[in-house]
Amino acid sequence: MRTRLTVNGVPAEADVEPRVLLVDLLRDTLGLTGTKVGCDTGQCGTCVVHVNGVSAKSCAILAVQAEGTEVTTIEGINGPPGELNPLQAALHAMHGTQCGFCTPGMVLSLTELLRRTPRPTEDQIRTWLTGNLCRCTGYHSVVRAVLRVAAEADEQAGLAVPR
Amino acid sequence: MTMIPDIFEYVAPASLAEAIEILGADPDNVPLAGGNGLLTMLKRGELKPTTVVDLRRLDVLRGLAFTADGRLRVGALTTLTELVDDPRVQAAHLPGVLGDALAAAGDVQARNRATIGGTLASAAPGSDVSAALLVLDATADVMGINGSRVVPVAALLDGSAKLGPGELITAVDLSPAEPGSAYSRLANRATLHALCGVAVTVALGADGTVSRCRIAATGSMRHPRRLNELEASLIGTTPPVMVPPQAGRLFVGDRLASAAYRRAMTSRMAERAFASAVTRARNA
Amino acid sequence: MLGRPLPPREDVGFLRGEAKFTADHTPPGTLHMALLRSEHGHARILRIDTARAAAMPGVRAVLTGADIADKLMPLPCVWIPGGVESHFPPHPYGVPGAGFVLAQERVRFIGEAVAAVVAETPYQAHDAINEIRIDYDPLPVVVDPREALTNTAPQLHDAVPGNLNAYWTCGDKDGTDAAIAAAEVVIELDIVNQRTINNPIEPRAAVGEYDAATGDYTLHVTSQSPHNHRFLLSALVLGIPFNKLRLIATNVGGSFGSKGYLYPDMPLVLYLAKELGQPVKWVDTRSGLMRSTVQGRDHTQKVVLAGTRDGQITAVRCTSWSNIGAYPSTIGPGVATSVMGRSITGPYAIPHAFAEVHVVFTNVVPLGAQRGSGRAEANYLMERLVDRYAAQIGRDPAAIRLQNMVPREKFPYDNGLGWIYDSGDYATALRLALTHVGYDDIEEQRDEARERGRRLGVGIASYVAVCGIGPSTRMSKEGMLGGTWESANIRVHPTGEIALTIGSQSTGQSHETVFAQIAADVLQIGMDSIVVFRSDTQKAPYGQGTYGSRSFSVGGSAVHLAATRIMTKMREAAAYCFEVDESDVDYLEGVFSVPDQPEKTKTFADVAMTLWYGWSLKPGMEPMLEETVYFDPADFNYPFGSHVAVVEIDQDTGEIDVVKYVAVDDCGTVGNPLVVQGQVEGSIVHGLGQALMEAARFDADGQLLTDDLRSYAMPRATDMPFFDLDRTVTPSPHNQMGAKGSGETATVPAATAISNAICDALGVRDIPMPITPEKVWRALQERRTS
Repeated sequence: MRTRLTVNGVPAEADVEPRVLLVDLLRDTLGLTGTKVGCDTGQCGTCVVHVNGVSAKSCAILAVQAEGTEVTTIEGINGPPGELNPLQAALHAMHGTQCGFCTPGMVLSLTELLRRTPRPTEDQIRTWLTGNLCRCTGYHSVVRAVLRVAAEADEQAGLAVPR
Repeated sequence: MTMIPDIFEYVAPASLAEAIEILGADPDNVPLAGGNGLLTMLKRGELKPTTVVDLRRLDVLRGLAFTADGRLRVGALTTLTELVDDPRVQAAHLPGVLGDALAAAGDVQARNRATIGGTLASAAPGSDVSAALLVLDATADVMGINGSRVVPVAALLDGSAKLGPGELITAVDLSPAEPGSAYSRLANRATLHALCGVAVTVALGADGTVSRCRIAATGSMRHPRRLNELEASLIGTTPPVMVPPQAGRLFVGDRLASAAYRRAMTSRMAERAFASAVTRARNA
Repeated sequence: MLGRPLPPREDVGFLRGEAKFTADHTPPGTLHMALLRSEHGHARILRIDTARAAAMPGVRAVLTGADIADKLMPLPCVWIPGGVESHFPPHPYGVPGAGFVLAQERVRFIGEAVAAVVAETPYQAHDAINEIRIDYDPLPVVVDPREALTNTAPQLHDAVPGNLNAYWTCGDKDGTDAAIAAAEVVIELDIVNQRTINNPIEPRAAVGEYDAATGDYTLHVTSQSPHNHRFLLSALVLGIPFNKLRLIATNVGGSFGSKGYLYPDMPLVLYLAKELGQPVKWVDTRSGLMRSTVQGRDHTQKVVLAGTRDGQITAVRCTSWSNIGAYPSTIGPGVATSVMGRSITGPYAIPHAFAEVHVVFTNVVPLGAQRGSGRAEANYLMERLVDRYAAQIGRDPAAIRLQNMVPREKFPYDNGLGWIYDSGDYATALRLALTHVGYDDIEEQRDEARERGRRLGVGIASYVAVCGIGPSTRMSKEGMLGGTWESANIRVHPTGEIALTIGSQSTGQSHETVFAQIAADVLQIGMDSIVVFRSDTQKAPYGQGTYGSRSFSVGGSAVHLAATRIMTKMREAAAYCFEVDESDVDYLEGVFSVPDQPEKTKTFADVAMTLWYGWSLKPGMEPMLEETVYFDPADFNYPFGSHVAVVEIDQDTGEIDVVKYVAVDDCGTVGNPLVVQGQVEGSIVHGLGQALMEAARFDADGQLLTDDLRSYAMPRATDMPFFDLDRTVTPSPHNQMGAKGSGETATVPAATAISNAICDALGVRDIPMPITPEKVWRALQERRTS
């Protein structure tokens, strides 16, 4: 079945069986392997991408269902080679990734959090992360990183930052 | 690697009539809304449909509106996130049982995809949103080959008014919120569904006693349901509302929790929800 | 450079999603393999009909056990419980067998691979798998290890009478029994240390390639021990020259022990790549992983502690039944025995100790290592006993621990069970943890919680964990068939840049950064000029991989030694150029110089270039700068520490909140505090998972009831607060850096500390893991009625 969508701002078109999952289209057909697969039942969050601007698990969407949508993957939010955006940079500074497998999904999920809530509290961050499982970090370094982004947002807004 | 679904046919009809016709043509055809539940079942081989009927093109099923009498009409394909993000919904319902239940329902990515119609149609025993709909006296507009009907959500959930082949939920209609309402639950740690959840609405009389209330349980029974006898017994009581144990036969026991625990926790969650709802009612 | 909290350089590729994992590798022409797994816990295979599957679109091969019976050998087991009689399925090489690549005649657990299909797409392979028809003759199933030892139990292996793999013991049985018999106080506990699933977020994967022109095989695979796996696969499974197999484990998405094992897919994709003349790829699913990748823990124990009324522990005894599943895994029997058994005395000086383990086959998924394996089980039993003992004699549990800990001046300390603790200061770590948690005013904290309607509990777990595996000769006595040294190679380029190649394998431990820090520290050069190569058996010197918290202390020591040798040669070369004695050469931050002779100055790169040209070197000196070191430690190292958990219990619901968690860990010299912090935090959460939610459950038919993440819960970010971490530093004498293991040590006490805290909050003798709200609620109900 012919399917057309926009991936990372670029029109994409592929012939897929109806049962092909969006994540398989992204990884296998389009070669965007930054999106990972970690489970079958929607819990792990390694396959999180943005569909029409909101985060979604691409293993729980048929490729044909994504017809006409705008999909953004980790490749689509990266800056120039070797550079990190503020969220990625904070995750780097805090060592918010260890094996790296859950990381692209985490980054996509947290990107939406920061878009909706530029200064999230620790509770808000932890609650938001329920859709992403990480077996390495215990999440703390990830939470610290997001708090750091929030503090930087405060600093840029000229707000006092309690130290 | 994802688990791979077995082969099925797929259509994305452009009209509601067409969707209903295809769904009615074969009992093994299934509608696809957000897909959270359906895709998991397809991957795990728990469901093997002939044709998956994708509703995504049916814009007529999107959007929400308030009627003059304050009821909220939600198109079936409205996602849980769209619902909770809507300023009108926030003004009319938050804080309250609807907001509590929507915040509890799964994770962000699930809420971004899950639709109100799909949530009802999948009739998950531990659905948080279903409990909220029950205490908001929600009805569902159901359309099929033989026309449309209005079905109480309670009847859909308890199976007394099953969706027939080819029948689709097109909209959900919610009563105005009471001044006080809330939802409390214990979560299944794996699925983030309710292990035991209770939704309540409450109105307080001038003397501060409970003048009206509605209570629904989810996760603890075979399906989410209203606890009508309990509601009646609490009229006239003075908060803090204490909730006696309910008849035990209603509760299910499984690997995650015994019926006895669910029974006891239904009372505790009801008390928590009442405490929160009463506070909200007083602040309203 | 060493000791600095540098953000790991490899994290950049992870954060951008550019780092490649095995499943991201799809060479041109790749075919896709799917496995059909047994649906029976125990059955005879009567007939397999593959005709329909073979005729499916895109299918290139269908393979059953019969097809490969004379082509692929069974998987080997290379850790035999040391010093005792043991029984294993056979392997043609005389080593123990660990199950077939594809089931032969019989299946012994649900999830065992029975057939393989290769097709042009994964979807076609999936469809063809559905078309394979198997007639099974079901056999009786046993899933409980003690039941499996009874006379009437179904028998799993012809070569293993009574299903007993081994009966293993250590320590002084008679002395221990006598001490218990004579003791003033005896504490007994029955423990089930439940089976849990490692569940790295990356499922396993393997991509096999075969070059017909050269006869070379290449396997991209999710392995934490690529060099070992190369040897075992080539020599003991495929029967091909070692020279012809190359393993590449680019980035591995977590392991926690589970990817140190051989699995059927590894030889299959290689065999099929040669047969079909195209690359063959296999990637597991989550439920596939949960049904077939090794699982952890699973000891059923009867444990006893003896002591005096005034708090002196006199003996400890552990009788354990280890459920190792249907087959021995690659090193499962060793994990189940010595690593657990020799560790039961923990950080205490106990005169008499004895451990015995019945290692038993049953019809469930094979057992292996899981973060903190063996040591976590030992810690749990000992620290539960100590709490019970303290309660019994009316003493404070912290005081009992301090009274019995091995004193600082007693190191090295022989624990009487085979471990010689290298160095430590156990009491200081515990006191520091108690200070952090505010132990002196814990009663006020308790009262304050009670006023809020909640019960507060405090749980201590002190530990010592054998790590840095290990001295090869010593490991041979434990029954390990293989060396446990580690390697490093440093090549200095003419520009002064460094290629550092290591034998260990990161599965998330930031090796590219930490190992470069070691070299940068010794060589006094910038991190930017050091590149770390790893994970490719063709590039790296031989190595043993990452397990047993060994990479930094054992592999890092190899790096340290190699860098030291490089410095020695450079100094010698520089001295010859300067025409001075080596002792007159100074070296500081990349510059060789001679005091008071400013013209005699050469940079690190100058000397490297000199040795590269090889002109006019000191007579006898070889050109170039390259050193390879194989480091075999003198002994294990023994990180230690104390964790204190504070929990609050909701009295109405039994809900458990971990409100505070203090961890004081001592892993000797720290290479990179940011990395160690990450390891400690992740380790604690892994233990929290076992304490509060994780359990692999099988029904009587051997069906895994928890085979996906809807049915098996793992910790989420909402399940814990930030932890309060601190450390003491007691260097190990067994390596130049003074390093000790840190990758899994904090898992060892975590489940115990939380369990102890919950028991304390409830005032109950024991509560089995995973401790669900309902169990807590029931305990509260019982207290109310009693």
